[in-house]
Amino acid sequence: MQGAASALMQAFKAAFASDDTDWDRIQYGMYVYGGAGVSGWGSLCGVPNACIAVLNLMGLHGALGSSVMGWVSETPIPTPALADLYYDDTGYGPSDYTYPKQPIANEDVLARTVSNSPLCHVAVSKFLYVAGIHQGTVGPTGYGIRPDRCAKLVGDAAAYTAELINYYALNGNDRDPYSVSAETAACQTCHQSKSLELGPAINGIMDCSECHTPGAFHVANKLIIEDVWTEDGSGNPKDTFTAGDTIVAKVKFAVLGAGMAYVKTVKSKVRGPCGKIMPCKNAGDLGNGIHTWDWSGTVPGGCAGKAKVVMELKSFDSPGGLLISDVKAIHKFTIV
Amino acid sequence: MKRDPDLSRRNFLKGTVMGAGALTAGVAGGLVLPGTAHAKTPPSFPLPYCRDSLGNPTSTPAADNQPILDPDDVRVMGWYYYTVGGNG
Repeated sequence: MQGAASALMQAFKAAFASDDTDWDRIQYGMYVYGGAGVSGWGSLCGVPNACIAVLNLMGLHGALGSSVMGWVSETPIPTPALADLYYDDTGYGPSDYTYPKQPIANEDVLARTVSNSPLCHVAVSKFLYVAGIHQGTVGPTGYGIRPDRCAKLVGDAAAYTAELINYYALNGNDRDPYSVSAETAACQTCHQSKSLELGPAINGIMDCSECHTPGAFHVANKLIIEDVWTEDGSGNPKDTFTAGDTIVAKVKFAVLGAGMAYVKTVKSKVRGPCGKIMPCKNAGDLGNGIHTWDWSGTVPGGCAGKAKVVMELKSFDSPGGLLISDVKAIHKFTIV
Repeated sequence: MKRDPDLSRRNFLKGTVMGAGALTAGVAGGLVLPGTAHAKTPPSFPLPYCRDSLGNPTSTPAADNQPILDPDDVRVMGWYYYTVGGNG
């Protein structure tokens, strides 16, 4: 993180050196924490973290940050650009500057991998796997192959961020506005941020398939009881009944995921202070979505006190088949 | 922006009328909260990222602005910093 942030900060400090701007007050050492995915955890790659942190200093993180995240996730890394500059362009070659390391030449790069993720763990592990190396493998220039990749990524992403900034300065908008992949967009047609109706709710726009494999997770496999309640005979919610009243017990539940699930009630009943008032039995093959079941009966006389609806639902992959989900809920009411 | 040496903590407490007043009030009247003269002035955001048509630093986009970053310079600097410090 420190490398990409320092490169962009130094560029601004140098460009405005004679202008007495507040770039002079920004310290270089602020971003060391983000290296290797924040304290070595392999979470958010320090490179986009750094680029967007610097964009934040200019108030551009909202306008350009998503493009940086997308570029890092979807670009084959390392790009050949740094090695091209080093080996082909005399302006940046070893005869022009003294460098501590020598980049691996493009013809010797073992892999250029698309991470489909901004996570350090995902990106680096994928690179190591495709290249067939481990973290300590050294390349032909004497520099480690993994750090060679990450060093080039630092330069590549910082340069890309510089291009976005230059474009924004002239046009006031993002040159490469990011949009999610078609596959992720398809996932989001069901998995929405503010709804459970068609599947678990989501947060963020990361590529889904990098971590989630379509298939097993998408069998209708989970039940959620959204509500259990009681009503009178006219459809009005009611929690206090007297002898002779019609009582309707209702359960509203969601079947999540695509496909069909066999759902049945288990030991579900309306129970009063003197015992069971009525059983709540039902079963059926249900698809993805919200379902409501109800049972109707009459409140018996001579038995006032606390009562409840006990609801337990189980789902199976087929009638008599494998148990997939088991959920319970209770609704309390009063008989006077 | 450079710090005004006249507003430094040392001068503030040492010689000025305000400094003497603050010390007196601090001894006689309990806690005296430091005024702005004690604080370092923080950077003002957003920082500029280009020059306007007159060559002044600006953070307002415009078609006649002058971008200031050389992406290849930034690329080589980023690569260099990583190879020196091993931190992305």
